[in-house]
Amino acid sequence: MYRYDEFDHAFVRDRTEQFRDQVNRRIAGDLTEDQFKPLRLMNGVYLQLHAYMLRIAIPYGTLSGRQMRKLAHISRTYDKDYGHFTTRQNLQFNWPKLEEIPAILEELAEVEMHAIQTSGNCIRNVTTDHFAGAAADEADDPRPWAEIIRQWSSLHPEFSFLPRKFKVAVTGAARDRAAIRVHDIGLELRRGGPENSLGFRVFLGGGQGRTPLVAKEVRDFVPEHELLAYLEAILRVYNRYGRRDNKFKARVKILVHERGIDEIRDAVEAEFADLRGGVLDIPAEAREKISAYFAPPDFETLPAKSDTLEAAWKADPVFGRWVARNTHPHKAPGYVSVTISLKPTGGVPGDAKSAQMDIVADLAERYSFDEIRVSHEQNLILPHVKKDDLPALYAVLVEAGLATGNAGFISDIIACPGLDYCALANARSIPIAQRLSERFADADRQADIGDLNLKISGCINACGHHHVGHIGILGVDRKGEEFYQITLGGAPGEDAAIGEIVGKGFATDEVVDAVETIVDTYLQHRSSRDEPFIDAYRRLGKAPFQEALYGS
Amino acid sequence: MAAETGTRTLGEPKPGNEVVCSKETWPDAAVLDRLFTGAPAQDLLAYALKELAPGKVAVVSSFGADSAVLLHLVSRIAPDTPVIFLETGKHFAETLEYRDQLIAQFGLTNVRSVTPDADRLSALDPDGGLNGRDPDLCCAIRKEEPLEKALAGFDVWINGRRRNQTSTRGAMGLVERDGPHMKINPLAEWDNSEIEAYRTIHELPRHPLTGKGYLSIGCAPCTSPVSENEDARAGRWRGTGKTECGIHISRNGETVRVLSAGQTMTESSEIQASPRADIRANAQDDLWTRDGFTADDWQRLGDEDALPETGPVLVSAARWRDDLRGLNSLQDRDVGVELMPDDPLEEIVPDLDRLAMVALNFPAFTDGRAYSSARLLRERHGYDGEVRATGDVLLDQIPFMLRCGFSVFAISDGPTRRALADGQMPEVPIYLQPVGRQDEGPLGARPWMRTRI
Amino acid sequence: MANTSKTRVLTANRLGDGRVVYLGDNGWTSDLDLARLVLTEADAETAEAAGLIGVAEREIVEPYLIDVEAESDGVQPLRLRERIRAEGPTTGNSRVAPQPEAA
Repeated sequence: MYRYDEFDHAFVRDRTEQFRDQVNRRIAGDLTEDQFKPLRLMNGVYLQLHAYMLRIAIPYGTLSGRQMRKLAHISRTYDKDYGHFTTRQNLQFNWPKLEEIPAILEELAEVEMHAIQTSGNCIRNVTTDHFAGAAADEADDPRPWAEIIRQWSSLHPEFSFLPRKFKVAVTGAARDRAAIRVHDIGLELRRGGPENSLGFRVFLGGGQGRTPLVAKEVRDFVPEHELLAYLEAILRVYNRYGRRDNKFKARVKILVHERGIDEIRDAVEAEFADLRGGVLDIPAEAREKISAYFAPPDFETLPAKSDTLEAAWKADPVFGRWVARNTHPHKAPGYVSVTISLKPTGGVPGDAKSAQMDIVADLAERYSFDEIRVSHEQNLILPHVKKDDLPALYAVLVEAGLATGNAGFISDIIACPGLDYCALANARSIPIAQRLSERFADADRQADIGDLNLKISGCINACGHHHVGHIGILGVDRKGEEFYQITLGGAPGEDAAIGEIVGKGFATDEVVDAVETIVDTYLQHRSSRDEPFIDAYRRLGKAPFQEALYGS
Repeated sequence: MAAETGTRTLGEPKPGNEVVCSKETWPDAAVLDRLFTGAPAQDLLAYALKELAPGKVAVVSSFGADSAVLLHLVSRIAPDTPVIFLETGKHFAETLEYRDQLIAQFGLTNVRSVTPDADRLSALDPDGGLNGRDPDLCCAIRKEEPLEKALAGFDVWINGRRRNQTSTRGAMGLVERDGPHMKINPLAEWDNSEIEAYRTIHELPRHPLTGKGYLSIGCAPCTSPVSENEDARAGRWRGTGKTECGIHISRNGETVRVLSAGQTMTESSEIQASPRADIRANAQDDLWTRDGFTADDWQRLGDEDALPETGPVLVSAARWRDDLRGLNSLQDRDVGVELMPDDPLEEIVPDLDRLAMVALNFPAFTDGRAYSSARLLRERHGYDGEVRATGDVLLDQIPFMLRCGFSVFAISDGPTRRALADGQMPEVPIYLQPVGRQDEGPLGARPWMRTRI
Repeated sequence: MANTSKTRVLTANRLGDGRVVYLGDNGWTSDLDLARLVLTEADAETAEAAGLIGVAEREIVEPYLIDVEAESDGVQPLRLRERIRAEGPTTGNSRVAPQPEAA
């Protein structure tokens, strides 16, 4: 994985000092709250309901064991002994003191981490496929590009006060595990152009929030050495023309929607024509230097089939089920990527205790070439695990309460922090997720239901991705009461779609029953066990679900 | 002053009044704005009702906390003026009572209560709960779309907005162009004490809710009382960040309708004149450069100010345009042009060799458009004169501005001035990305900073 | 529901650590039961003035009034959001963990 060079170290050190100075000036009164707020936000510091919240960047969701241990240490020393992994592959601490945040940032800098641009109207932490560099199906590894974009966008002098926040996601596979079509910019690394070389298909203007929109393709191929010139062209058009009169209409998706993708494309192309071939052009040798950081580890030459594994899952069907759900095919024979579920029955989606973080760090060092990933589904991934090692790894996970075999099942819920923590929320998300995972706790029943993603947001800002949930739940405030609206048919991947509202919302004590009704309706109507929920929904439409929920 | 209730309604002819108006020959909104600035509101109202577009003028009123003043003024000039009331179906009962009371008391004979389109309501808001889910959309179908329809037969509309109601209305003109309509804000200059004085003199009834902490009143679900030190409109859509319902939002010179699309960039870049010398003038600016503080020998000219005998002058984009792009009275003079973010940079590009300075204004430090303008000036158009940052220029943004090509900074913020005087500069002196200037280093630090030889 | 006039208290977050505080009779307190009750418009003005002073003195940020119900056994916010601010998250890991700030 990427290692800081002397410039990165100096950069983060300077940035930490800069923020320490800003905190001091705030406390001394030289900065008003209005002036300080955007500065603290650019360092990932929010003021939430109960306290400040610090959001730490995990660039493209990649961590080493040492970094994970540092996060565990920070949660023990400065917070309440746990951390919350987010849908942006970041980590949030909910209880830091403003006065201590410079010290936290200094600790992070020791392990090449920071909180730069995890908030504010700037280019946010770049996200990517959590199986990047490991997945059997990718055209090339997107992480070097995520790193190049991270460097280009860090404290970009022109783009630090955009109309609104700006999120970029990159994938190297046609199978989209990074939800690139609901990002401001989505990049798909693939072969194309006259020489069938590597480059990017570029999507622009996706996003969720109060106006959910699926991104439109703005260019089918940008040669890889011109990526930054093209991104700069997009950002310049957005910075100059994006709406600033209404913060709810300030994202680039609104600009694309209002002006039309063709007009935006023309404006971007005009800008690109001037920028390409200039200082942003990336020489091949420079790119190779970055790629070298992401060279595959020294995989052993192994048979594709592991006798150890097969013997173990025959002996323990629960383990077998875990392997079936929580491992993903790897490009190296004899290896898999492992999903460590942060969704235990009745748990808080995405939360990990410091002791669990330490255990995951140990496991990564022992079994996964010291690599950990954070998925946008709020789980942890060990990307390179030998099949032979799975039984031993699993035994440790069971001990640590991390062995829930539910990846991609209905209880693998994405949920935002909701009204329990968030100053913007209208309703709670976590208790709904807890009740749902309890209701569907039965492993056989989940296996019968199959692939079904369920996502919960506590307000219209949609941090819980409810718009792209096969089943989405949106919490609203109706005359002081929490109320939940259900959407069906959303999807985050290459078949991205925005879910449709099925009808009137449900009270807190009705919503779990309503989801169960939806699931039962699917089970009744599916053409066979092989037809997953989303396919059945697309075939049937919402009518049978509405009828089951509301009567005819 | 503006609240003075003089007896003259249509006084002496003023320059501009003699124009026989039709929609095609309307004076520029900016001209009217200048003409009526400082004049009694009655004059502007009478001009609009009787001269600008007789029979084609409507008043739009919410019958809210401040509405009585405008309606009273109108009723004394022409009580049969059409008054459009957007009956959203979500008003407080008190508002409807108040409407009827004012109609009776002022003798208004043409109040039209306009209701939302029933089909739109049943499609988008079947349960009546849209205001909670999407207040922008709710305003669009209950206010913006009905207003657009109601205004179809009119050329001019009059409303009661005032500059001191919210910070976002602070720069509003008396007269504005609003798509096909002229939009007149006769009370724009009035402050609270003038409103109060007028109300007292004329014994106008108060909206029943104003006694309960409501200083601005819209639909019931989206209005809450405000506390003493808040903007009067802080209780509208509280907690959402929304400040306007959409019927008053103007971007780049055209009014934005929430559900409309397809404005082209070039159309929206046709900027109206914005003679707002008041928000730019700041005699206390100190100039700072990398070499320290310097004196400012530039004179800032308001759009109406007389040209001084000598010395370099800084003018608005409108004045530059009005001066035939500096070829009229500004010829043979060191001239700088100050661009607001809405002013199109491209318009002055052909003139750059005649400009000794370009000032780029930050109306708020969070408005980052001027960063792009500065880079374009330097890197694309090769401008090597002074690029000055004006407006909300704060310490923590100066490092970004320097990298984008700003060379001089007009500083009015006290802590920023102190910090700069102390030699503080909160910058991260390592750059992870190139800008187009070759004078910043360390060159070659990052892969893409190497230029190909 | 005989109580027609609203009872309110002024709340804010402490600048230094962000914790929820209420305006009490002796400065800011994290104990809602010690909050000064705002019963009249005049009370509200006084409380909000104290809030502005708290902001100016960099003790607190974002002060605002909330509706509460004052009973004999204590003060209870009316809105769920404020109840959660007063009592902490209703579920999750921060409820069971020991407070790191023992001092």
